[in-house]
Amino acid sequence: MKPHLHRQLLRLTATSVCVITSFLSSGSVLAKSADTDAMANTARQTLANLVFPADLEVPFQQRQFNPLLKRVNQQEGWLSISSNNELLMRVTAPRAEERKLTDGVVSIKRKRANRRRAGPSLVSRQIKLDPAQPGHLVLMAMEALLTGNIDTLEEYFEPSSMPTASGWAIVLSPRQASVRRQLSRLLLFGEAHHLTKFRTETDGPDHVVRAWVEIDIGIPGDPITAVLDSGS
Amino acid sequence: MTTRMLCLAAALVAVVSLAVSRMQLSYDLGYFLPAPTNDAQRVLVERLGQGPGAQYIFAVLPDSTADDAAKLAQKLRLQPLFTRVLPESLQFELGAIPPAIWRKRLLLADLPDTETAWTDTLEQRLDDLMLANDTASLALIAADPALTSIQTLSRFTSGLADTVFEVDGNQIVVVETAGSAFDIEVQAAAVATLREALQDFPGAQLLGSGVYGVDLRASVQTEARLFSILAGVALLAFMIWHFRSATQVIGIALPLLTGGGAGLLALTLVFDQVHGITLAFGFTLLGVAIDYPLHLYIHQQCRAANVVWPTLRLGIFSTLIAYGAFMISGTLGLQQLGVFAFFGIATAALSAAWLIDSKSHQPPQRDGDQVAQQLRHAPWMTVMLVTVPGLLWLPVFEDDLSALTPVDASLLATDAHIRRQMGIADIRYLVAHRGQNLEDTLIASEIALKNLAEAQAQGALGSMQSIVQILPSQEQQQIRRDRLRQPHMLDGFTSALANLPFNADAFSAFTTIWQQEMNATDYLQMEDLLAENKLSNAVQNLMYEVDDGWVSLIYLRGINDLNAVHASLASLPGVQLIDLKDASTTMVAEYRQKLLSVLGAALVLIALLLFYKRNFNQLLWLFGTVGASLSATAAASAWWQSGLSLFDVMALTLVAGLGLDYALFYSRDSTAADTTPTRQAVLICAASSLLVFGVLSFSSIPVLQGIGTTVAFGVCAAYLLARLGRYENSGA
Repeated sequence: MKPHLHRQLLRLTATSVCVITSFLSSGSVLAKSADTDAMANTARQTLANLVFPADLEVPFQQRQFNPLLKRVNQQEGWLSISSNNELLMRVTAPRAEERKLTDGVVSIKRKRANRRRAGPSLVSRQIKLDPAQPGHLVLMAMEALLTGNIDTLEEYFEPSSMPTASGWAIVLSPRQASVRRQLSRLLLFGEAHHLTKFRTETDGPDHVVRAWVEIDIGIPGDPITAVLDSGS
Repeated sequence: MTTRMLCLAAALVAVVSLAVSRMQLSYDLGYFLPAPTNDAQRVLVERLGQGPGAQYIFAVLPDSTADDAAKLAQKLRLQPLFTRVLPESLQFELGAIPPAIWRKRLLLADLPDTETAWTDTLEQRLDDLMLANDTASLALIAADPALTSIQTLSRFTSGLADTVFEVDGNQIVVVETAGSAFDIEVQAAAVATLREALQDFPGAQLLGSGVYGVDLRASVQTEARLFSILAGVALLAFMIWHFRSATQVIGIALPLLTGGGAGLLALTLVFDQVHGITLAFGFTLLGVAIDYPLHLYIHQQCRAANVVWPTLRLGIFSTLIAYGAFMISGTLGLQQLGVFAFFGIATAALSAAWLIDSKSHQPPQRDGDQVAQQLRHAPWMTVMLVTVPGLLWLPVFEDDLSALTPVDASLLATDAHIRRQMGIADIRYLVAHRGQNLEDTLIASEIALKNLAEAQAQGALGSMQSIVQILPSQEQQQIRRDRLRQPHMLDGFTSALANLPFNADAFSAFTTIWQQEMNATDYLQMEDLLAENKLSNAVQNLMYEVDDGWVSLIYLRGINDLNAVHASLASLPGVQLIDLKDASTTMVAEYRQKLLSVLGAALVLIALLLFYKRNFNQLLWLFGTVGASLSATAAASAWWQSGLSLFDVMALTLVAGLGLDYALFYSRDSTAADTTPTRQAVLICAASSLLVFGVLSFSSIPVLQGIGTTVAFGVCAAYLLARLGRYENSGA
């Protein structure tokens, strides 16, 4: 199979999974039941077993949709966790950008081509996001997942496992009501000890998903990842 | 204890009680600042303690994470003592943007003006949405796709917009206090609140002018109390040892204390508020009054108290003239000092005269009793020859007030390092413009900022902070409004939008406000910003109204080439690059000159007074001896302390008073009967002053140490020169 066909197939699968999981997460699966504790424990166990080697770069694809957009917006790039637990997302397309999360501070660097009105060749800015804000929580959650810092994750989110056709799926519900108004849930998908998809959803007043962002993460050492690597 | 002593003690209690009940203390340094003589000094006085970053307190948190710092900041934000707590989050929320800024956002920054520029801007928003896809962020971006509101606020956030809140591995939380750095009560409350909040952070450290002021006040109070007790105990022991009479010791203390009480009462009657420094220096100057009861008691022992009065009276009048001169010095603080010392000395002298019986008449002088006195001019001339050239040619005065700070140098270095790393505006240099009205001042600042931007592009400085970044002139606002009306502006936006994955109506909130602004006629006003709690403090720091117009300040960060910055402003009339350190130094120098002029005038009056009943030889010796004492003291003190501060000059006034007393007693015609008690009295006076100020010279507070050292040197010089300049030949 040629690499580009492989990628299309992967995207198709991912989109299908998203549709299914969106339906599941917004419906009865999230309802409280007698099995809640068991599902939470399963989720915790799964999260605790996650592995992501330090200093290894894997490709990622990020997609996004919200009411401002007429079509899905997409980015591609490389993701890594350094040995000192810095989350680095190096966006390569459509516009070069570097995002680094260190101790809650997001640093963004954009190439000149992307900042035509700016002076220096590489423009950087730092954004200090409030821990109580959704933007911070999403990045913090991602960093916590990849570095195995599950306690921090549980401080802000309530985990619960949910059924899925393959691998595992977990929904993280923000504990704070003020955050829930901005960010309804995080959805995690994976295989064995690896996180493969990270999705955020924000519901509208009608409880239908209004905006979402999802990030497909390559599995370290996976042959598919290698194919994805060459494709990007 | 005599009846008179009891009466005086009762009067003392009554006077002090009344004075204390009326007294309101002030710590406003403006009391001691002379009228500014140029624009730089005016800015210094007007913005005392409110310069760039002066109101910041830095909490340095070792072994902490950014989350810990954020939680602490959140906790501190609830305190009304702080107008701002950093780090603060970049809040993509409409509610976080001051309404005045949000309402007039399209007039506060240039919008992209071409399709290409809009494409670039909207692509950035696409990238931003990848990080912030929540409801609040979407609402903000939909209504302000160029983020003009956020960018305007970021430029204006007290120079901390792009700051890193981690320095050398330590997290930094910065609070901006509600009062100025010199509002010690506000600072004390802020520091106490911070220290309580930092209990959970072992090893945390507080830095900032306010912290040093609060700690300094505590250490000055502690040391002043300690050294007062030590000096008092030493003096008491000395007096008891010498007089061996409790009554006499009380009799020496009472006039001094009554003088202090009367000085306080006079202050509260004349002034609404009394400055703390007035009290500290006032009691120092009042020290000379201890000589009066000492002379009277010692001469009383030899039944010669009546003989000493004429000389003592001259000394008292001379001191009153010198201290009274402060009352016309032109600054409120010195006027207070003059009132306190004048009434204190007068009351102490009157109390001593009333308390100590001086009617024990010495037998009338006979010619044969008169001691053939010889006044040697060699000692004072020699000292003058040695010290005066040095004083004239070498830099003697230390006008840099920072040299007097008792704050640990390493702490100040850490403070400076953190400010530099965080990019806080330079606290020494700023650009000022004084205009007749608000609009003209804003226009001039816009031009200055434009010129500075060119210097910035050449690397001469890092960045600037100005009021016009948040409050453009109405002229500039109108230019932006006119630009909004140009069809190509909106066309550029709609064309860019069409080529990007945004919905056509995604930014309807933005285009609606665009239409509204095109038709509006109002502008963002100064009052709108002052009404915003989050902004008013910073706005007032950058622009303020004065009697004759408005002053706009531009704070500078990361100055690399001062000459280039200066050159960029050279062609702008009325715009000035101000060196606050230079302004304070010249101000202190001018203040010292004024002080010396006033004292010089007082000296002329004293000379006229002393000329009465004295021949030229006596007068020459008198002034020569006092002058030599002062020059020797100034030289020794300047050498010992690496320069004379303003406070040392004040101490020299006391040395002049003491030296004049010693010289008066040694230069007067005397009889054999009162020569010995005079010598003894002057020695005891000198020893007691040396004891008190010698103890003070061991203080760790530079100001107190300086006063102690200078007066101790002065007492030694004055006594030795007076003693060596006079010899008696009783056999003649």
